[in-house]
Amino acid sequence: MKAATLSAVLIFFLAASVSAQTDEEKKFLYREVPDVSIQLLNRRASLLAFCKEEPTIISLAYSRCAGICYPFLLTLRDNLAEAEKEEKKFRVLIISFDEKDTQENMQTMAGAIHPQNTSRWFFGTIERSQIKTFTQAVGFTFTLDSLSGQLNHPPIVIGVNGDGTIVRIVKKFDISNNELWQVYHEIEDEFVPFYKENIATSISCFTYDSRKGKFIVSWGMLLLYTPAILVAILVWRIFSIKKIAGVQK
Amino acid sequence: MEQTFFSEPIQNKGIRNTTLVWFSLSLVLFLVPAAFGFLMRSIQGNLLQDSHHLFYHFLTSHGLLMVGIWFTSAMALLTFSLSKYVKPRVGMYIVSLSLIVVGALMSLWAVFIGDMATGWYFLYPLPMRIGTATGRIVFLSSIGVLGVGWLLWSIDLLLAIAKKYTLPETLGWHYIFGESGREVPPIIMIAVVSLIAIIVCILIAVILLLLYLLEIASSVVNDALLMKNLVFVFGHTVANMNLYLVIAVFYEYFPKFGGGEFKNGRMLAIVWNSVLGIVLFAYFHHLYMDFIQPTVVQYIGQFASYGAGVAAATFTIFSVLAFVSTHKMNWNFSSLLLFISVAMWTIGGVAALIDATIPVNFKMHNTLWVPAHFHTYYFTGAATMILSFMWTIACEVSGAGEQPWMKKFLLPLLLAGASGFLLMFYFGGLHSIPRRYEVYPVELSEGTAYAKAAAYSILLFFAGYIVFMGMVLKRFLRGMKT
Amino acid sequence: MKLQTTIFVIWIISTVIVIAAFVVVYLHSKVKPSSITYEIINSRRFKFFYIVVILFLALFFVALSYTPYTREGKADEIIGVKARMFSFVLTKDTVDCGKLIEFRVAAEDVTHGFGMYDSAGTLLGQVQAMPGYINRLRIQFDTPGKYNIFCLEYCGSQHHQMKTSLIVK
Ligand code: HEM
Ligand SMILES: [Cu+2]
Ligand SMILES: [Cu+2]
Repeated sequence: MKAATLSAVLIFFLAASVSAQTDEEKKFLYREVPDVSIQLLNRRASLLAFCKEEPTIISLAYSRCAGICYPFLLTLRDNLAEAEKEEKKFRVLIISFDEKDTQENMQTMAGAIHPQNTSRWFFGTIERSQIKTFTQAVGFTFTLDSLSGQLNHPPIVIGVNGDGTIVRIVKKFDISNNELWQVYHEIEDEFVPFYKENIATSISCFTYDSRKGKFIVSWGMLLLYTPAILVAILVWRIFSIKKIAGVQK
Repeated sequence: MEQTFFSEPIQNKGIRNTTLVWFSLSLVLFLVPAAFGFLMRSIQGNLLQDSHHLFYHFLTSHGLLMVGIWFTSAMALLTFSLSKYVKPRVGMYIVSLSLIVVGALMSLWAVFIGDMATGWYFLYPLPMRIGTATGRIVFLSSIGVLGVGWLLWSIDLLLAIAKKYTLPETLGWHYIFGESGREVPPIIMIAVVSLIAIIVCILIAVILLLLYLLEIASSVVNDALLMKNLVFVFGHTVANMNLYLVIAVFYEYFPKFGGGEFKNGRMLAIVWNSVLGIVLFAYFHHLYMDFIQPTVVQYIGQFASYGAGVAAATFTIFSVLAFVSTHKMNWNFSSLLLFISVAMWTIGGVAALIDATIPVNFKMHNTLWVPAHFHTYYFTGAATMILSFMWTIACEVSGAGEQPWMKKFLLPLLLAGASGFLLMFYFGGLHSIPRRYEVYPVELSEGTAYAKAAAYSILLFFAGYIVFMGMVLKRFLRGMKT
Repeated sequence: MKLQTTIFVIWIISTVIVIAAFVVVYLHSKVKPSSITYEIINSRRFKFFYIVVILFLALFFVALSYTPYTREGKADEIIGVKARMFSFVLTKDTVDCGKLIEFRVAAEDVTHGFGMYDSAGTLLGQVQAMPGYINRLRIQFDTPGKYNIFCLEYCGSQHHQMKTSLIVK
């Protein structure tokens, strides 16, 4: 139990520190995905051309990862399975940003994730010389841990609509279902009326349930209208003081 | 003087002298933000080159001081007038006024020395990004001090009223439900409605300030949309209530110029009770251009704004016109000025309602149309009403009447100056000139010419105002001695 | 006629009506009280009230159908806008005439305003740029030319210099 709380707190702080990057993220939005060439399990393709075929969700991962990659991809898989039930039609492209990854590695990864709807999931690598072009274009950074040889990185979800334009980038440790659903809506050009960036703010007036498409009133609204109630009580108290004798005719 | 409107309040020496001292102070103090206003138009009109870098400081200080001064004067006028019926405490009156003076001085310091040129509604997170650290604290504290001053005062007035009337009585519920009961003058009812709304928005300001302090003291980041909602419930409502405070007094005294009175009644009570219900929702019109605010909320904003307009048109304005056309009015400087300010309030109100229409706001929001309409009903409306009551009071306390040239020359001069100044704002709105621009870009250079014309008009107004101020101050001084 | 002119004309007409009403009433107050008393006029208040209410309700519903709020449907092109002290960054600065453009407006530091002006200096529409949120503004450009974007929310000492432009081909 303690460990859970502790990790929750940790995740919170990590999230807070990562979310400071959202300003950076914005730089990479609403531009076309870079036209790098990718090697999928069964064909070579241009990323831009691939994305223009259908809305695409791109995530970056690498096969040797002992950290976040696999758990994250599994969550993504389950979440997407639900989205598919609601007839969301988009592709998922998992590409490696590790120079060492080969076709076989990605094949193994595909086996490990084992998505239900294989025809919509694609695994592949980026042309080695173009990895940097791609990661820079979406503002994705990672560091090499020289001891373990692991690459430290946050999970990332890049939403690309049918025009090949990047419309959402979510990049942090605790991507919520709600945020994923916003990405699903967004890439299919569905209207999302509420559009809040991932900045850890104190309290707000509303939140938005992207899955149900509903506004949820949150604590901030209470702040707006509690004073009215407080004052009602206060005024009631004020007026219950003793009247001056004689004036009450 | 044959007319004595304020004979009872004048008898109460404590209330009278405190009011006169504040009125004198405010007449002089008004010159400071008014001069800032003139300087702003001069800078925009390229008449002044040296103090360019101070434009936004002038802007912020002008807005804060003007709202502060006129709100306080409206409260003072109400306190003075109410003392005919109830007994506000002089001690609390003095304490509140002192707090307000301190708050105003602090805000001046924060803006000019602390560099907090945030605009009068200090939209979050701007105050966190500009100015010095001390300036920020002093700025926020100045709002706090003003708030406390107004809060204590409002509570004291309510207490004074509560000593005589019950809550349902003051809200006129016996009129609404057709029960028999004591007669409650409209001034009491409108005052209670306004004071309640004022206390609500002061509490909201407290929450706003606490959120700021939280952010300054810790690493919490506030939500910009929430902060904007909070600041406008406060800012919009305070400015609106300023008018209602004056209207309360207006209901009591204006009909006396025709030898009649506005009686309280069922419809009036219904209207003011519904005002209490909608007044906290109209502020949403300040957030029309925040498309992420849920659309229903925007519609409520437009509905509530229109509602306030309907209430004003069909009650206050209708009553004034109906009354004047059926009574033989004593048209002196005061009553004429009052009548004109009702017209100005109406004209500004129409412009405001137009701007409170969402598709119009899309093309007029934050253009000069905004200062155009709020100056019309605030400056030539509410503030002018207060000035005209000051004149009546000045004449009564001193026993000195008015001179015939005041009606013939002074009034037209003031009116011409003020109207010229206002009209230039309206022209600016017509030409999409943004508000709050130190210098107009070449693409919008019409703005510069209008600003220049406005600056000259302001000088006309000043000429008249100085004369008026001198005459009032002289009479106040004489009145305080007796 | 552009909306601003229409609005101005409406306002001028209302102002003239208001002034005329006040002047007429003023002149009336100088003559001897006539047979119409305050009570009689007061009894007509309801008529006036209903007229005003109907007028406002009509205006209200008309206005609702012209709001600028983005609803369903897809724009032809998305342009990202980032506002910061004291400049705008657009992901594209040329667009095609006739296309429905959706601006997704975000702010980096403080609240700014995104105001789109045509080459004659008329404000076509605007939206706020608030930190933490993305506002969407849809505009269809029907005439080619240079459009200017000015900041329409006070954002600090260089607020009046915060601008950029967009070419419509
Ligand atoms: C001598 C009379 C006055 C003059 C010359 C004057 C002038 C101005 C000017 C030039 C501006 C800036 C317009 C812009 O955005 O470009 C302004 C803003 C403002 N004025 Fe006045 N004004 C006067 C009276 C008043 C009065 C009586 C009030 C209130 C009771 C008032 C309240 C305000 C407010 C709240 C602002 C907005 C400040 C802001 O944008 O932060 N003014 N005024
Ligand atoms: Cu800006
Ligand atoms: Cu700006």
